Amino acid sequence: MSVALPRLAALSLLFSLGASIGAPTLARAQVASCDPTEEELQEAQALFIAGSAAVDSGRWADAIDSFERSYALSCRVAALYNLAMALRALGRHREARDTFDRIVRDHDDIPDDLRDTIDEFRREEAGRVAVLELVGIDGSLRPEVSFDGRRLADVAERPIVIETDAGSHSLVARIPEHQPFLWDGELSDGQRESIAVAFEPLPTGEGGIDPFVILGPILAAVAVGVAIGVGVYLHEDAQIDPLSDRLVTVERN
Amino acid sequence: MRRARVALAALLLALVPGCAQNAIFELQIELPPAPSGEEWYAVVDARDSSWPFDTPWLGPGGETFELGPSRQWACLSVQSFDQTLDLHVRVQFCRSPDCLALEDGVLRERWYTIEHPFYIGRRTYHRASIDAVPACDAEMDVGTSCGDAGLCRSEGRCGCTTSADCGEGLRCERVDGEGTCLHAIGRCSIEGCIDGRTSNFCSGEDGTHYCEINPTFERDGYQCEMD
Repeated sequence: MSVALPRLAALSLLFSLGASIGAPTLARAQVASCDPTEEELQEAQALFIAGSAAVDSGRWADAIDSFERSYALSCRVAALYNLAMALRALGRHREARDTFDRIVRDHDDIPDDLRDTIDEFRREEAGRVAVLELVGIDGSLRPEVSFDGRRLADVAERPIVIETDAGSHSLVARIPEHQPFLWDGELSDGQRESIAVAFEPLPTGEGGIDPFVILGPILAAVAVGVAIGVGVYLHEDAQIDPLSDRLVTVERN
Repeated sequence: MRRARVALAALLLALVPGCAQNAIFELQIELPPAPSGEEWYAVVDARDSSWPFDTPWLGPGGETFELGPSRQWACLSVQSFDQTLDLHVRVQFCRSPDCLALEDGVLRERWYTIEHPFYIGRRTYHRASIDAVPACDAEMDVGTSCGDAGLCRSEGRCGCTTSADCGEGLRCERVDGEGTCLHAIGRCSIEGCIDGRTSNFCSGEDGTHYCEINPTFERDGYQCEMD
């Protein structure tokens, strides 16, 4: 994973704005409801330091948690900025973009040079968000759509647009009395992929001869042949290989 | 013809064991640096959860890692053919690789229970971090904090009497009056079969682990260098 640039950026911010934690005059949130107590500020500061240490050792996921909690307690822009940078480093571009947006929206007193930097990063991150566009779904249908195992809220817009990050993804769309539409694929940074969604009615079993009556034996014979060929390979390859050379096998005691 | 059918049946039967797949759980523990100028080792042992923490674990097992001047990852591939198993993991910190130095009479351990780490045919991951060797000065540090390992005890070990002595989310497991802080790692913290957020690997709808919903994806959270 290429992390050098964001990591440096995050650290440089730590040094330039780190003092803002606990310093009420610099870059404090403009959120009206945010009025942290002294104890909350101290905890936020500890979390900010822990997040920065996590960045320093490359533990970005831990850093995200620390910066999120630090910001929730303090509303200080330094924590939110470092959160955005950590998300960026992890390739979570959509969330990074949204976090940069949040900085600009909720903190109107940040210095101009920092605002320029944020705008630049925000543009970069927005350009890296991958988009999956589901076309061909009639506006009258309300399909149940699950993306990467998570069900999406009912979307009335057409086409349905799903923002995500680069990587492997899966999608399942369902409507009643139809076979589910399945999609698996890879998306790269900034890729916009259109998928034509078509729902096939479930077979009713009425009329005609089931093609499997004819094709079944043929398919079975082919399947046996393939199974024998592939099976020999699978016999050796069916196991998941350990990544570490220190392998422990655990059995019930 | 009959001979051919028998041969085919025998071949198919021979292939059946290939389907008895394993599950691999990649356990990654970030070890602390050795206290300066001292030689320390961490012994990581993973067993099924019927092994109790209150007695030494006999028999083969335990991988030894020498602590260095900086933090390092200890990686262990834990394999099982039974996905219903839970794990107990103990990390023992010792002054000698075999934990038989004189100073090793004081148990300095971190304990973990790991719920449902295995999914047949899948690779799963978890990362844990140990901030410091859970040892302290028996004369100077008694009663002071050992971080999430508890408080410094009179014999120079870090321990606890109540869960309040341990870090957030840990509980004090008491054995014969001596407490050790225990990390309980739930099934939703086991990485695998989903891309995206790192904080929870279960569906928010029904709590089902993503390895049970969609086995297509793996999250690669591996920290150790590959061979």
